[in-house]
Amino acid sequence: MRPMGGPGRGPHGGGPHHEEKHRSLAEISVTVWLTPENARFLYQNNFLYIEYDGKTQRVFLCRQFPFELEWEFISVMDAEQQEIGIVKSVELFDEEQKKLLVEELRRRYYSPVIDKIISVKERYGFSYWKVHTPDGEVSFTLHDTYRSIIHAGETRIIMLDVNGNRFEIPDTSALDHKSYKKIELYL
Amino acid sequence: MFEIDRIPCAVTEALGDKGIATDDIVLAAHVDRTREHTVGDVYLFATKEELILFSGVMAVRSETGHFRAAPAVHKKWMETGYESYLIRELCGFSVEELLSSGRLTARRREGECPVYLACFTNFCKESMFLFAKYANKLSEGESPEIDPKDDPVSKQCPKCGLRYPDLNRRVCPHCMEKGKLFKRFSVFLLRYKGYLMMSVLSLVLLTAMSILAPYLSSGFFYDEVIYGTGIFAGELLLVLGLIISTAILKMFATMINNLVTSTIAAKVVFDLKKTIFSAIERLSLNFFTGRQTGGLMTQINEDANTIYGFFCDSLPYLLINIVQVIVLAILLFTIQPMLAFLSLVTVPAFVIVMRWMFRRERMLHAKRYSNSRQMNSFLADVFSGMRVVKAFSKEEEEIRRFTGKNGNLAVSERRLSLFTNYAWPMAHQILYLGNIIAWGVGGWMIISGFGDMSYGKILTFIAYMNMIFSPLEFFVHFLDRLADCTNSLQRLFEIMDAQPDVSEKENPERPAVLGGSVEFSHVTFSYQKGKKIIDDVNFDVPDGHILGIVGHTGAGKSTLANLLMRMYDAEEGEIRIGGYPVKELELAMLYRNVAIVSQETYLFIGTILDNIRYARPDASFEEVVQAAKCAGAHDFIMKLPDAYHTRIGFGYKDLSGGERQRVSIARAILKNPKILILDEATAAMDTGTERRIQEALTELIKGKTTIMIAHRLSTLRDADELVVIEHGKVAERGTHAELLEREDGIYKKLYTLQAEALKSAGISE
Repeated sequence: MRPMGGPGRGPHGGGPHHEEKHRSLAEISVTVWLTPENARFLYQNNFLYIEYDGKTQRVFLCRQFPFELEWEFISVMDAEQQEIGIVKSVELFDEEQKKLLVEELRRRYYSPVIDKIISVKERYGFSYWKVHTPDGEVSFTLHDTYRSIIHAGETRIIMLDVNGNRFEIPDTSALDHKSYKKIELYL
Repeated sequence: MFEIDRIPCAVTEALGDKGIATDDIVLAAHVDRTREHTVGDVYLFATKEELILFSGVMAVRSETGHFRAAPAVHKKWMETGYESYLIRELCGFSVEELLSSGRLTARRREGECPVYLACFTNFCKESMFLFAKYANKLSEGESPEIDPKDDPVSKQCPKCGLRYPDLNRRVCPHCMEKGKLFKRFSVFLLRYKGYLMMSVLSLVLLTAMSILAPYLSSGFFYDEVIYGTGIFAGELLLVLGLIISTAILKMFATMINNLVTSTIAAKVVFDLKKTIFSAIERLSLNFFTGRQTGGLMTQINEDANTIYGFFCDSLPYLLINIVQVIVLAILLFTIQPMLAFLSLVTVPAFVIVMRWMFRRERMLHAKRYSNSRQMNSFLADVFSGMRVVKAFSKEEEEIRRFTGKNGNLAVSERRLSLFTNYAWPMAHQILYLGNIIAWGVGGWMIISGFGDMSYGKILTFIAYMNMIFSPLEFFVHFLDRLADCTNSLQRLFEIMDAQPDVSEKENPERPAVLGGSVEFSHVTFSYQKGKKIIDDVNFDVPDGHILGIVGHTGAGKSTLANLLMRMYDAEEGEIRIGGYPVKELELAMLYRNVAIVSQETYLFIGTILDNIRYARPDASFEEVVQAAKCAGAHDFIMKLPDAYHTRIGFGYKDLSGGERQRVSIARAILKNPKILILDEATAAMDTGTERRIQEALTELIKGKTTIMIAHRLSTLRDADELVVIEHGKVAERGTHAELLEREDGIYKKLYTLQAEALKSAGISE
């Protein structure tokens, strides 16, 4: 096993590089569905592995429709960012396997949920936020506030801060009145 | 010790108790998560022998960008875990990015087994990239020399020690000194001091006349002229003359003020825009790729107006209004202190209501602006994509979407106009309340003979009282204008102070003749820390030779071109042209000798002639035509009605992709550089056009050192040597024939794939 970059990115930190596999169009256009019959997931050394096609290798999970389907249509990628196959739904797998997948996805897609906005200060093209999350209070900065807020549904928003963190408000209409007033302008 | 993050004393002391002396620590950093993805403090230490993970709970200052462990009551370090690894047993430290968080991993030298070291949110990502970089050196047994650019001190505000909220823009929101900004700007303004003085003087005159006029037409008129017994009694003509002359003086003062203001406005705005534009032009390409161009344009336009508006409009009025309020208050209290006191109780209410209304209106305006922006971008989007809309017969759907956006805009417009139409008249009732108090109390005073009141005095009093509210309204707005102006000034100075990444050396080399050879030795470059785009690249091209660069999309080919052009500077290694390192060369000399023709051709608004002559404005007509002929552009240009004077660019005649490309090749031919870079110059063309352009290019590259970057390998047939780039490294190197001989070579695979694709498309090479 060699070190690898996170999903969607190449390898970092000076690790050795990989040669990309060159696959033909015919190979790429075939969708492999991963099911309990042809694949098994396991957890070793704090990393997720798959047993598939006679090989055991470390894998990364990616949601294909992250704003809509949390536990369905999961791409399973190998270290070189090539898709091994797709898990149509985690429900297909037994409890123990499902737990592995759900936990790995939770870790990968972890983003703090904002339950209260304490203050917003707009200054010099940046906005400085102080919010409350289940993990405690946190302050972060957005550059170009309007563009840093992704609308991931009617009332669900995701904020991308200057450091690349994501903060989520699952339902803006469920915020308390004071918090809502602070964010209203950006909605 | 190299502290990537600040390590509290309590932690190093606790570490000392474990037998690790602070002096032995080479590297230290902090992450804000445990490996189980819960909130917690973990400190990472590296000595020459060991890697230590020290976790626990600590009361930390709430710094921007760090989670604070929920109940921060522990005053000292409460250790929860201690782990150590022999650093020589690990290698390949790297950062795996998840979405909002990341992991630091390494692998064991024996067995290649991956090791999960730490987890962190993106607040700590930068630190972890640094940690991985130096830990890799330590694990190889090298002593890490710290690059001064990585010094964490540069991440903190030197004044308050807090981390900058945005590391790319080192502005501390707590410590920004407004005073300094204004002082610095006033130096700029001093150029216009004559105009400013005139503006202030005319304003003083205007204010004096405004204060005098009500007195002459009411108090003086009734009490002295009509009912008076003094020397002015019955002097009707005199008082009329006085009233007329104040009116005329007031008119003159207004005219002078307007004249001065419009002259100075044009001058200041012009100078400001020039300053901002030239400051921006000076900067390296990096500055532009990091920001949106649209943002830059509004910045130049709006900032200049905001700054002007504040200094030349708001600030003089501020002075005048302060004086006016003081003078009016004194006058009111001199006329009748009791009446003044009673009538002015409405002032605080007025200020509070105004402030609230002003905020509310700004908010409504912002909403309306945001809705109208959304609608406009929707319209632009749909109209430019009309072909697609029609092709999928989505007209109905688009009309429905438009109705939605239009409805939103209508709602916000209605809210705004309702507010302005109802709220403002209501707020002005507060003013009127003051008048009623003055009439009532003043009337009672005359009737009861209290405090020497007269009808004329009441009239003067009310006239003055109404005058006091407009400066008050001004003060309410003033604070917001001040904030806007500080904002713009801050941006202005930030641009002026930004250091171009690429700068010319003092006393650069200016060889009389520059050779055409190109040499890359051990060149390394990354746009972002830790992500090497170019990794130890070596190659050389002798004068007059052609080098082909091949590789997948994103392999770093175009970056090599950018580095040669010094759009960016290499981090490590050296690039030499004609034996001179590019960093030593005079920039003008470099740009004169290197030209690039890329896939994205940019033609400026102007005639074809202007565009071809862009690189050499002094080129003669013969030369332009010759260049266009060589580029195969002459024929199509002559078919246009205005030939070389055809206006092209945004909003004018639209040339096809191939035509634009040929114009840009003509531009490069006219420049006649020593070294030519062809960056996917024909990638977007159909085969026929490509062939014609290839012919033009063959003409262009005769006798020049050429670097050809291409995706389509057939275009590289003429290259003397080929370099295959994979993940920023030179993977293969050799002639076409040599590379094809390599079994399992990347080039061979690519070539076979493309040849097959061409064959199946019915084209054989």
